[in-house]
Amino acid sequence: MPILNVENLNKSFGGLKAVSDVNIYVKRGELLGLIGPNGAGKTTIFNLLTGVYVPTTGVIELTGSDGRKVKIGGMKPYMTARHGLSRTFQNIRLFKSMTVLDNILVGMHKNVKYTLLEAIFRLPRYYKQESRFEEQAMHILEVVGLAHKAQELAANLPYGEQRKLEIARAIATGASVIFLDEPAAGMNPSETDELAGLIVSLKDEYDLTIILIEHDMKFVMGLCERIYVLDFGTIIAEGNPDEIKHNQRVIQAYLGEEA
Amino acid sequence: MEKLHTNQTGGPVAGAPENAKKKMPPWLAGLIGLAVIVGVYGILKLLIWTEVISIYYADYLNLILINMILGLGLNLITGITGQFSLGHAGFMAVGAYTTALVVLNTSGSLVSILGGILLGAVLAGLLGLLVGIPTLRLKGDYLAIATLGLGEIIRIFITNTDQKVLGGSAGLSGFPIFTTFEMAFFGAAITFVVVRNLLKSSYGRACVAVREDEIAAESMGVNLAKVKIMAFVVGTFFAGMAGGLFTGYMGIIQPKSFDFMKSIDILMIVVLGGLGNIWGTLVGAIVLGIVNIFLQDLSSVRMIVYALLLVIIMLVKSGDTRFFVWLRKLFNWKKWTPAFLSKKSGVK
Repeated sequence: MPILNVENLNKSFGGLKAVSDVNIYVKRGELLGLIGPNGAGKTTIFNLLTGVYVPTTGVIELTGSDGRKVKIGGMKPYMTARHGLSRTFQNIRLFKSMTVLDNILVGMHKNVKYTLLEAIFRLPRYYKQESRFEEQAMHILEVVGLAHKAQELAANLPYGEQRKLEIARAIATGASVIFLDEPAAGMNPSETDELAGLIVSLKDEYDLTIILIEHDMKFVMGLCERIYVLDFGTIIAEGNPDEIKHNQRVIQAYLGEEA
Repeated sequence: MEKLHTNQTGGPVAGAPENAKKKMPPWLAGLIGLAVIVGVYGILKLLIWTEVISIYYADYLNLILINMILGLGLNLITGITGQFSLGHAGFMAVGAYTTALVVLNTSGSLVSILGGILLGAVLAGLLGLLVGIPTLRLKGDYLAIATLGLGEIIRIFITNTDQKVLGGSAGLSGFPIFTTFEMAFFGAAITFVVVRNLLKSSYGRACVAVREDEIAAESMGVNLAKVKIMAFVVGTFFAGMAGGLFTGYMGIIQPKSFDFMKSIDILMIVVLGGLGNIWGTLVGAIVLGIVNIFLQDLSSVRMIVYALLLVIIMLVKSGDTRFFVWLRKLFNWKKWTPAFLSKKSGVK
């Protein structure tokens, strides 16, 4: 039973077909890779799935934990987030002038139960939920190893930790499906290894389905259970890492055709 | 610079403020806050009573307090949520005229005055809601122009409405100067507490997130339109309240008191105190208030000196010291080495 099912997804920008007839399914609890050369349309697919772009045509269907199906294609990003989708960005998008803890708490904002007036008049529900939020946020920070930096500004974190914070913030929304857009970009090999371990442990702890875009092949092949390969906006291959490694079309897409 | 500094020291002792927060129960923190407000009120009242602050300056203090309310409201919209608004004076006018009409058409008792101020605030907030829905889709400079136009529309509407109703360009008068120090002070205190409590809640964090990165905020489930409109409504509500107090401070209101320049004046307070910094807004209102007091003797060149002072204040605040280094060289002021120069550009 797929948690996410994409059928005949198309996206055109003017005359340019960025994504054409893409069919993807994602199983619950899966760690799925999306790879392809630069400009293949990977981030466009992420943007379509999370509501940043509206699909030209096609269906994106999300199955909730209760088995109900929701068509999320064309929904605004905050609505897809409410249906349990969250993401990180290729070029890190943290709330830089906020503290690490506050970044996480923004992720939790959509679950806030107290009203604005309860916050202004500081009624009991405000205190109750704020302390629970803070507890949960600190727990997430502990898992990703940033608890000791909770009160620092996000902008002052080193690059690798900013990446981690972005992942932590995505998890804080309570999402069931997380999209990671090049999580290992700009990391050295040891940081990349550490990140892979972190992703696996987060997936287990928070019962996540993870879809990631990455150019580091060692990282993708070692981590993902299944991989889609995208080239010029179409899916050219699908399979487990071994199958992908030996797929002729994939090799051609990356290295070019023989003369 | 200041930001960096607090971080370097804030890092290693990150646990400390948190522990302190946990030790203090909320009711105690609230009680201390209340005590501080009452304490400041008591001190100011004592200074006025003993005439350390003369009647003339006490009167001026009310205007500073009203400016604080305006600044705090605009700071919520522009500084905290990042929505550049240049129409704040328009919403102030709505509150001012509503209050004036209520006072003129009722007994003018304390209840009707306070009711008028509240009604003005509510109407300004409602107008904020009404115009916020379409305009807050705009970004940056487009929003600035749209709100600028809106402020002018309100002013011109008042000027051209039947003179018997809104007084036209001559304005409304005939009501007493009813704004007391208590009204202005507790008005400012309430505004400060509301904006502060909002800021330190999930809603406030959502506001800041919208300012920092709209795309990321929306992807985290923050409803951009809702957050922006909320900030706009709260901000314009307080602009209306300040307008009502302004009516009672002046004793006469005219459309030209609420022109574009008034919006700029409020923006100046916010920028001077620091965008997003609510304590700074209080300081900004006081500093600009004092500058205005000193400039009153200068009459004709007042506006030139005021503008020049603003340029200098902004230059000092922005941390760009090139102009001052150049000035120092030009006039060969060897002895002139203010702290901000030696710290930021190493001039000895």
